[in-house]
Amino acid sequence: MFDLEQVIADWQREMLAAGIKTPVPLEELESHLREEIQQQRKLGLDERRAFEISVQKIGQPELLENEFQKSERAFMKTTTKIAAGILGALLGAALMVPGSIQLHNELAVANGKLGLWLLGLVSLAWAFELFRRIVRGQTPGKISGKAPLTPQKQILKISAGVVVLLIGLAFVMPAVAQARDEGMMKFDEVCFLMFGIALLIAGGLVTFFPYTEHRA
Amino acid sequence: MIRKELVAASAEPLILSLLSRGESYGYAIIQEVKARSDGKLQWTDGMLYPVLHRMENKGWIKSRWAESETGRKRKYYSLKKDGKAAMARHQEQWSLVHSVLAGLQKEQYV
Repeated sequence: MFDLEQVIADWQREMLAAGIKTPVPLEELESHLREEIQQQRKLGLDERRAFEISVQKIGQPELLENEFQKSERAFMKTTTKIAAGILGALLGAALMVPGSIQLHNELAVANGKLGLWLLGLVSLAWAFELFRRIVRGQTPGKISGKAPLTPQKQILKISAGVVVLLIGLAFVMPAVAQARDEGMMKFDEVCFLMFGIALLIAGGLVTFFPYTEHRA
Repeated sequence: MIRKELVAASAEPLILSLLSRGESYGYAIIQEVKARSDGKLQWTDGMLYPVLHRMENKGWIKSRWAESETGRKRKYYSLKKDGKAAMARHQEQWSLVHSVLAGLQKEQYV
């Protein structure tokens, strides 16, 4: 005598043996299986045949588990990236604290603390970039309606970038010299240093990044 | 029958588009896709669920368990805000592929 509940329980055991997790997604698959059996029964099949066809349609347990694993791995990768980003942001903030306190109290910062402060800034920037990539990775890529720049525009772009780089260096160099000569940096020089670094980053981006322009 | 690579690539945009019409569950999604494609677009039923779970992990859709009219437990999926944005991107990409193909096809008959 065919016992539908018994064969469904056997099918569940097979799924579990293949590595399908319970309650999710096994319960969901079971719900699907029962819907399909009901549909096959409406078409006039007996319970046994309806069950066999439904199991066949739902797919091999190993193949299903393989697909779930892929989905799980992608999720773990994102979770790991988020954890690394949070850690990077916290580390960055922690590294910036001693320099910021000294700068606030004395309007100057010692070289060692300034080094940590810059390292913290790099760590924060890295964490920001990681989060940006995670967010971008969550949506399908936008269609690019852009084309590479013409050679004339390329030259113009690189020239502008080099000028910005030189201006950035002009702001950074006196601050570096003060740090080298006095073993510390005063507040105004720290401001110049930050502004110089910002200009160096902007100049570097303009010079070296392959920019595109919208197609006509 | 449509090639399995194309079936796999079209899964996410189809699910997103179906869910944009209201919440649904796995079995109904499969039946709807089958009906709308005259049975030419067929998934191995179970393969839909890893895709749904992946989309849920990405934050595109959300799910809730509820009882069906027959008293059976069903997991219903619905679209989230990020899912709507993802759907728009997918549709943009598929429209582009379609327009390129249609353009090339037209040229063949000129």
